[in-house]
Amino acid sequence: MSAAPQPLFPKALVANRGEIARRVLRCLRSLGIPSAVVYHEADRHSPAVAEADEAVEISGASPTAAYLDIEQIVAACARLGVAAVHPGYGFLAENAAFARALADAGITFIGPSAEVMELMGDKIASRQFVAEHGFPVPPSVELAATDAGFGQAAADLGFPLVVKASAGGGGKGMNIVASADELDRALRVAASEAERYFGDGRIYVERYFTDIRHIEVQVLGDGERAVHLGERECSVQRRFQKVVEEAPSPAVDDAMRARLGAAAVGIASAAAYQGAGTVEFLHTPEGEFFFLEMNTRIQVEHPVTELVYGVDLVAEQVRIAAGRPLSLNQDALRPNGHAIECRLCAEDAAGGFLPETGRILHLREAKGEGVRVDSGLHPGQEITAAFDPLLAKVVAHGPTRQAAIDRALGALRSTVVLGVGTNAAYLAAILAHPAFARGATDTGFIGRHQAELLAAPPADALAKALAAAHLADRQTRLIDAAMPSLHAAMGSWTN
Amino acid sequence: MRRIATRISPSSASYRANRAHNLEVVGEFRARQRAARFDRPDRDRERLARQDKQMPRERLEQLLDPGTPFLEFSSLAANMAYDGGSPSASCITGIGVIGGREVVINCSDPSVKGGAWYPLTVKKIIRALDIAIENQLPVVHLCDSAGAFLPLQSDLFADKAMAGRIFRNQCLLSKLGCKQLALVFGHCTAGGAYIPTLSDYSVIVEGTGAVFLGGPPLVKAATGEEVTVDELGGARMHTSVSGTCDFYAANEAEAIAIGREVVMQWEQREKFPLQQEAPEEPWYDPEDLYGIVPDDVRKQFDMREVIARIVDGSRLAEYQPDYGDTLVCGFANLWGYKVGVLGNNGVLFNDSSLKAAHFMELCNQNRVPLVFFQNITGYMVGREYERRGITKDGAKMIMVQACSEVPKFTVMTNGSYGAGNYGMCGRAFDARLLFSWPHSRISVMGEEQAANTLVTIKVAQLKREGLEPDEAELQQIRADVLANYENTTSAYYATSELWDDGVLDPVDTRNALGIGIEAALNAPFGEPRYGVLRL
Amino acid sequence: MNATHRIDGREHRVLALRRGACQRLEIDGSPLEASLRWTGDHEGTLTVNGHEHPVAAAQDGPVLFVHLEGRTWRIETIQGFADRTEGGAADGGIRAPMPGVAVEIEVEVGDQVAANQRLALIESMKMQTEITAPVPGVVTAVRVAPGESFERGAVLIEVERSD
Repeated sequence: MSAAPQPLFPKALVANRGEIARRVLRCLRSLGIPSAVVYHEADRHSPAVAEADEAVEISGASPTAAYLDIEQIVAACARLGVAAVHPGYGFLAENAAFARALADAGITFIGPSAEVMELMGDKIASRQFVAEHGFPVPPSVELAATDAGFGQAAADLGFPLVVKASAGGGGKGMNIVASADELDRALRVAASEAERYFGDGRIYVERYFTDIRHIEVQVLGDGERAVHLGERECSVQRRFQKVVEEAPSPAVDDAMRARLGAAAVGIASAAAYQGAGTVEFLHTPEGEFFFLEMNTRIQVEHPVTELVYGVDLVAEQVRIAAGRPLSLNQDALRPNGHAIECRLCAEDAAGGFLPETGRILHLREAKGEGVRVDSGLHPGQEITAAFDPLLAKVVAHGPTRQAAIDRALGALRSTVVLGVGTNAAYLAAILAHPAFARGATDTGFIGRHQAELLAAPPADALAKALAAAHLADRQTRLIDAAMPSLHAAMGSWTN
Repeated sequence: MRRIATRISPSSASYRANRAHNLEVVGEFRARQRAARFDRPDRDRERLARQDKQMPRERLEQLLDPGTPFLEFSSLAANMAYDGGSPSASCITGIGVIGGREVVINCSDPSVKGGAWYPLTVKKIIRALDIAIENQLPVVHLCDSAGAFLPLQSDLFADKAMAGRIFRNQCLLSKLGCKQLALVFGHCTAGGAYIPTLSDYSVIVEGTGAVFLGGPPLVKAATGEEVTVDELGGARMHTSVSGTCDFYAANEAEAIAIGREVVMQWEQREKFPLQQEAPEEPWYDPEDLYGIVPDDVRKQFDMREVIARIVDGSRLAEYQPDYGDTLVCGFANLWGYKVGVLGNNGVLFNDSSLKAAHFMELCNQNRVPLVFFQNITGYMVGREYERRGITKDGAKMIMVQACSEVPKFTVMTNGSYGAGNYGMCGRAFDARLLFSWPHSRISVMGEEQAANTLVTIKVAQLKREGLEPDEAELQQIRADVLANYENTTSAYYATSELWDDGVLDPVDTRNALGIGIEAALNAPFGEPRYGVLRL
Repeated sequence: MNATHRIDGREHRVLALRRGACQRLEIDGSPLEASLRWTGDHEGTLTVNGHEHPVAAAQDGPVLFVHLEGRTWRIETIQGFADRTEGGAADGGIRAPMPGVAVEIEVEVGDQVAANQRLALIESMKMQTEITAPVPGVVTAVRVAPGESFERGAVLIEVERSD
């Protein structure tokens, strides 16, 4: 009789919701770790709550506030006897105070140390850290905006510029300045916004590169050693928000991958990084790259790396947090094929990308070879503006980039979400665009092709949809069920 | 059941002449109908627009299910009365479909003198409600009427078949379980106030809808009380204070939407299980009817050719094809439903009368509706026929026809004269629906005979007065008599007086009958039973 | 009662000419024949002019969602009257231009406000939008609190005009 192997943790809790909560729970189950999840009343019927071994309701002034309530979540962990917490992304994923509160309660935070999170969370400090270790950062001005000479120094960088909040990140708190006369006002607005958003009015100004690529490198570190799992290209962005991501980047060859990987591993190693992290770079058409920021969490777009490298990144996070040494060797990490992720969001692409709300009336997720859908959706779910509009991630893997594109397109087209408007058609238009097929995907992609991406669907498709709507309409069905066949067949006749 | 073999040829001179003639006749009918439906003085249109009211046909279009038929009754009612002052008798009636349910429509027309009721308006509304009673159909009233047209009040108020009958019919319908809904778009004053009030459901429109026994001027005159329309009988008051109306609507569109919702809650009764097959279009083109019906009412034609353009697959299982051949009898399907058809192919003799009586008995026994295609100059006269008891045989036919329990439908295809009109289910014999083709004529006897008789009487009268009319005077008398006679024997006169349920373009006959048969299935068919037959 | 539908802000007209198993429709003036056979609560086969297409459809009041040939359509049936079940706003109600979350509410009931004065800050899509007074007047109702989310068209604040 052999004893069952001990799980890495006696119990772990997911402090998140939606697709990422399910993703982490799935991993915990595969690792044999009893799971728990916290949830706000709005997510009572979510699959995550159903799939976790235990679920604890938390409350707040708003649903978001509940998921940000450190005190409540730590108390719930203590009550359940949780040994570790996975924060997912967003909410408390990069919150050092949360990590410390857990540590104080004797609970493991699945992620890097609070110090590393603080370092990387402060964009000014992290840039200095990276520069000090000899890695390139974009030309910038980091004086306090109130300092004399700031404006001149900023103007000296050359326009356009981007004003960023030091405590920002993920596309939040960024303002582009096209010319000198806009600068003063932009600085004032940015500082006040930074103060209001992040409670930290510090800002800095960077040279703004248009039409560059946004390439990020996935790293794993155990504090001693770090490896990279190649790059993801996330250049297809709208207003600094990623829309489509892929791995590997069509613009990165093996040599460049080695250079980017070395830089990312160097930065992670310098920080004695523990867990999964992402080092974001700007990649110019000339082949230069600059450090942008490091995200100390699992990224939304992590599945593309998982599919290409065959590694469960969340499981690696858990193992590292449990004190296990990194089991991966850089030499053995080879990309296999190509993967593409599309962010399915509740938004009205044709209507200025305003968020859509509604109830999920019918749901059919894509299936098929090489297709992975990470979703937290369930029929009956109310999609409100309380949370991020991300509904699901439609991911496809194939032996070649074109195969991955074709599978992702097929998956998008067979994804059925009824009850709330989504950007599925817009995503499909991106994937089907010839420039995307060529890999011409810099950050100007969407701006350049927006009109084509938003082109109206063909009239015959519209007519068919209207016919279907007419026939599916409850009123039509009630009328037709009640109507004598004679009247139905006679149609709109009159004498 | 065999397809009727046609003998007509579209290339023949007679076909072409008939067709040219009939297209003109139908064209004139359509023009008159269009005028009755749509020609309104600008000031009336503007008045309605000012009041934020839609034209009655716009209301109907929104109310009825799209993609469904509307069988309008008597669109040319009153076309020869009141100097044309009451087109369509100032109202729209018919059978339409709301929420898949057949309903009888009674729709005021406020674009004609504020929807005031003329005597023929009253007659038309009563007829629509009679149709609802006979077929046990629900009724939707679209109310917007100024009330009785006072100059003619003595012709519309007191008698049995006058305005009171409308309300009596409403009560009867309710007792039969036939639902009624009133949409109050305009004023319902005095008697008119009882239409929504006697309905099972009512919706009233804010601002324009009002229900009261006496309007503000009458109240002022009677009691000195000064009161606004809204206070006296407006939408808010009736839906929240008096409970006279059920639903408040902010505007006409909402009233119609509420009305549709109400109708869609109504139970649907089991229909009479009439034999039915899959419907089939006639094999022969119904447009041939224009080439079949002669250009002169006196010319004979084979009614089988007409039947072949109306029934499914042009098939007829003819009954006694070789007996009493001036009457065609047989079973056919119409929109899939089994019917017994009787059509005149000449004057009625003893044998054809007996054949008719027997065939109608078969249809009653079989529970099959009867369809009459009239082209009849009457029963045969003369010593020989009287000796054979022609009236005795005619009486059998009339008795069986009058006592038939199955639904009956009549089409006046050409001439309808004398007792033939009765035997073939004329207006007095309660056909569920009766239609006239536009060129058809109807009178107690044919024009020639009638004119000759009238001229003889006139000359005798002149002679008694010592006058001796010369040939020219005789011609004039004869022409005057004929003109007057023609005027009152035309289909337009008949339909003006509501002797029928409307003039039909012949090609519309099949659909009109189909809707009528479908409607008839809402009421149970009675057991066959007759009076005493003189054998 | 033929229907007008709205898709992406454009209006389209569907006329039913014949009903029954195979319906004849006229869509924006072009005729077609269509039928729909259901295979599940929300899934079925649409036949248009003899060609079959798998279809999914679901309805939320006047809005129909249709998934057809890889595309999802949001089709709204336009009614000729206001839906009173929504409990409409009084005049002067300031409606949310998009769904979002209230960040700051800067006025209270009874406050005198000037035209274009900032009343609230809302956030949607990581973007903050100012809600300003359309007219000078007095705040008569505040319908949303900081942190609360709301739908597009929801009344946030009501201002009664006073010049």
